[in-house]
Amino acid sequence: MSRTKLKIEKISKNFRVNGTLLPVLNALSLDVHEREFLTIVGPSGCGKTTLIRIIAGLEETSSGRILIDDMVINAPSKKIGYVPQEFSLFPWKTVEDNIKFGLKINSVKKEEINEKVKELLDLIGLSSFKDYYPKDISGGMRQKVAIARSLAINQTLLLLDEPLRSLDAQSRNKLQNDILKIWKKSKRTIIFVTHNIDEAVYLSDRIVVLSSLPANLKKIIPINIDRPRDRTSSEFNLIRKEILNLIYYINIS
Amino acid sequence: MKLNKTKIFLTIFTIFLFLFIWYIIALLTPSKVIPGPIEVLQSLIKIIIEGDSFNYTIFDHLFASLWRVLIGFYVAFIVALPLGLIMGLSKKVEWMISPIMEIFRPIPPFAWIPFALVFFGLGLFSQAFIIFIGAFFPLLTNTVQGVKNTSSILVDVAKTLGADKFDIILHIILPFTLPFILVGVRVSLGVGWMCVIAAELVGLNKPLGLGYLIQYSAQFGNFALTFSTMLVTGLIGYILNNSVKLIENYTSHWRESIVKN
Amino acid sequence: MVSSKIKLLALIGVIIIASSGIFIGVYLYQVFSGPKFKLGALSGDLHHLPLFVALKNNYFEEEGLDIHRDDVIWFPNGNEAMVAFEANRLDLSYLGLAPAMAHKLTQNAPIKIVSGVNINGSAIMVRDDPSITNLTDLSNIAVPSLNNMQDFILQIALNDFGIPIEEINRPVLSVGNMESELESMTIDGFVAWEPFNAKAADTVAKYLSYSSQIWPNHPCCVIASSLDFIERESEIVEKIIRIHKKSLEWMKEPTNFIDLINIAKKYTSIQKDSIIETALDNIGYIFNFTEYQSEVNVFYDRLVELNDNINEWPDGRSAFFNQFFDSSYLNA
Repeated sequence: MSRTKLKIEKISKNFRVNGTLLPVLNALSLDVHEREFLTIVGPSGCGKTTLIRIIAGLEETSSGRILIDDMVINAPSKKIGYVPQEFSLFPWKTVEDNIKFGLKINSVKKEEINEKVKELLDLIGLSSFKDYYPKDISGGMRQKVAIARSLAINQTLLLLDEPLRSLDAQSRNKLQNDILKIWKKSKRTIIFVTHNIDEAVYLSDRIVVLSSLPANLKKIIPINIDRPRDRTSSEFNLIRKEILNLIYYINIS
Repeated sequence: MKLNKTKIFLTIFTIFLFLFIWYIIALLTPSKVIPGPIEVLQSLIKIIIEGDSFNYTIFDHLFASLWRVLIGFYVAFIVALPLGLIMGLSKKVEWMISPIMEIFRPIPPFAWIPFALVFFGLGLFSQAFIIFIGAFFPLLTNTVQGVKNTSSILVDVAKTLGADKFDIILHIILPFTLPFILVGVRVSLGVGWMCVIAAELVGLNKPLGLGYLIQYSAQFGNFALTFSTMLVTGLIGYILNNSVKLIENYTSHWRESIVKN
Repeated sequence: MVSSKIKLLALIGVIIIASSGIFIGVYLYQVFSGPKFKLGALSGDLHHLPLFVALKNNYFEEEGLDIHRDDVIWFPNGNEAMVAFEANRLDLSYLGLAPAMAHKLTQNAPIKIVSGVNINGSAIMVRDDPSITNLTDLSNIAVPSLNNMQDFILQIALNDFGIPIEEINRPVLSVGNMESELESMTIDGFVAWEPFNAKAADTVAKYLSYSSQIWPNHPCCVIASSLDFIERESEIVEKIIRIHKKSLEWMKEPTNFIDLINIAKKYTSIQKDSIIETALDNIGYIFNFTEYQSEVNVFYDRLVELNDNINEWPDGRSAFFNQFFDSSYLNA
C-alpha cells in the first residue's frame, strides 16, 4: 500500500462573477497515491483546470485544504510541476535552456546542470533538438520538453492539464506511450486531465470522474489492466462504457 | 524578402519618375524657393566636401545633432524603463502616475523650450531635454504595455519552478517585454530625431547642427542647401529606424509562437 | 549562482554609475570648454559686422578673452536674444534697440545698453519694376516683426506720405523669405535690414527708400549687457567695448576694405562683392549712442504711442533712459 502523495480535503472554490457567487468546486476530497497515474475526467467546464491550478498553488481555495507529503499547499511548491494546456515553454529560450531554467534559478552547480539536462534530453528522446527553439518543434515535442523541465528539479508530482489536446490522433497515441515511458522511468506521481475517455483508460491507474458544476466527486474507477493496454480488448471497452455512461448521465441531469 | 528583378526595376523607375517630376516643378516655379534636383545634388556635394562658409562639413553638423539626440534619448531610456516596469507591475503605482503622464504627453516638445532655457541655459543640456521629452513617452507606454501583456501562463509556470519575484522580473518579464521595448526605442528615436530640429532653435552655443543648418540656409535663401540638409536628415532618420528594426528582427524571432498559440 | 535580486540591483547600480559618469563628464566638459561668458549676436546680420571683424582679427584674444566664432551664441532674431537675457542665460549681446527697449518697458528685462553698434542700414524694397515709384503703389509690405525698427520706419514713411497705416497690409515674414515672396508677387514690398536688401536688389528688387532717407541717423543695433554681468564682470564689459571700437577703427581704413568685404561675405554666405558693397553703403557703424539721443527719444515716444501693450515707464522717459542706458563704458 503506497503512501498518500496528495491529500485533497473537502476543498471548495467559488468565483465572483458579475457580483454573483459561482461555486465551481464543491467539497471535493481525494487521496492521490504515490507514483500512481491518476486521471481526472468530467464534462466540459466543470472545474478541472481550476482544481489543477489550486493544486499547483496558483489559486486559493475558498475552503478546505490540500496537503502534499503532509504539508499544506498555499503557494506554488517546488515539489509540484505544472504543464498547462497552453503553450508554456519560454519561447525565447532553446529546448536545452528551457529545461535548464528551473535548475538555474535554484542555484544548482553548472556541471550538475549539464549532466541532468543531458539525462533528461535522452529520456524524452530529444537530444538532437536541444538547440531548437519552441516555435520550431512540434506540439508533442513541446509538451515533452515542458515535462522534462519539471523533472529537472525533481518535481515529484506532475500536473498535466490536457497536454495532448491539440495533437492529431497518431501523434497523440505516440505521445501517450512516451508519457507512460517517462512516468515509469522517473517514478513520479502524475495527475492527468483529459476529455478523451479512451486516453484516460489507456493511461491511468485510477480515473476520477467529476460531476458538472459545481464539481464534486462522482466516482473513482480503478483500472487493473496490465500495460501496455489493448484498446480493443473487452475489459478496456467495459470500463470505457462505464465512464461514458456516467458522463452521459451527468450531462443530462 | 524576395528581390526579384521586377521589384528592383519598379523601385528605380519610381525614383526616377519622382526626380523627373521634381525637375519639372523646379523649372516651372519662377523663384529659387524650389531648387531642382541637380542644384540640390550640387549643394549636397559641396557641403560634404567643402563644408559651409566656416568649413564645417555636413558630417560635423550631423554628428552634433546626433549627439544631442543620443543624450536626450539615453536619459529618456534610463528613466522610462524602470518607471514603465514599476507601473506595469503595480496597479497602484500606475493608477497614481498615469494621470500626470496623460496630461503631459500631448504637450509638444517644442513647447518646453522656454522652460528648458531657464533650467538648463543655452547648450547641450537644454537641447537634450527637448529630445528627452519627445523620446520619453513612447518608451514609457511601450514598456508598460509589454510588462502588462506578459503572458501570465509563463509567469505561473515560472512560479511553480521556484522563481521568486526577482527571478520573474529578470527571466520572464524582461525577455518578454524586450520586443515591446524595442518598438518603443524605434518610435522614440524617430520622434527624438524629429525634435532635434526644434531643439536646435533653443539657441545653440555652437553653430553646429542639421536644424541650425536648415534654419540658417533658409534665412539666407540658400534653399538648395536647405533641401539637401532636409534629405540628409531624412536619410539619417531612415537609418536609425532600420537599425533598430534589424535588432528587433534578430531578437524577436520567437514572437510568432506566442501569436500562433 | 547569483540570485536574480542581486543581478537586478547590480544592473541598476551599473546604470546609475555609468549615467552619473557620463553626465558629470559632459557637464564638466561644457563648463570648462565653453567661454567664460556668453556673448550673443544675430546670425548673418551685417549690422553686427564689427563683431565679425573682431572675431577674424583676434581682438578678443588680444584683450585676454577666449572667444571665437564658435563661442558666440547666434540668434535668429533679437527677440530670441531677449528671451535668453530674461532667462538669465545671456551676458552680453549685439541686438536691435527695438526688441531691447520693448522688453525693458514691458518686462523690465534685466539689461542695460552699453554701446551703440549702428545707425541706418534698412530700406523699403520693391520689385524692380519701373511702374512702381512710391509707397502709394503698394498694398502689401512685409516686415520682420511688428513694431520693430523696420516696421517703425515703414510707419514713419507711410505717415510722411499721408497714407493711413490701416490701409496697408503688413504681413510678418522672416527676412530670408522676403525676396522670394516679392518675386512671386505675394507681397509688393518689404522692409528689412542689410544684407537682405542688397541681396534682393541683386535679383528682383530695387531700393524704394533707404531708412536713412526716411529717418536720418535712426538708431538700429546696440550692445546690451545683463545687469548681473555689469556687476560681476565690469572689466569684461569694458573690454568688449574696446574691442568694438577697435573694429570700427579698422573698418574705417581704406586699405582694409577688401578684407572687410571678405569677412562680410564669409559671415553672411553671400558670394558677390557687389552685394556686400551696396549693403555697407547703407549702414553707419557707431559706438557712441549719446550722439543720437534725440532719435532715441523719438523712438521711445513712438514705441509707447503705437503699441497698446507698451506703456510709459512709471517714472517717465528721462528716468527710463537713466536706467536703460549706461554711457560709462563709452570712454573705454
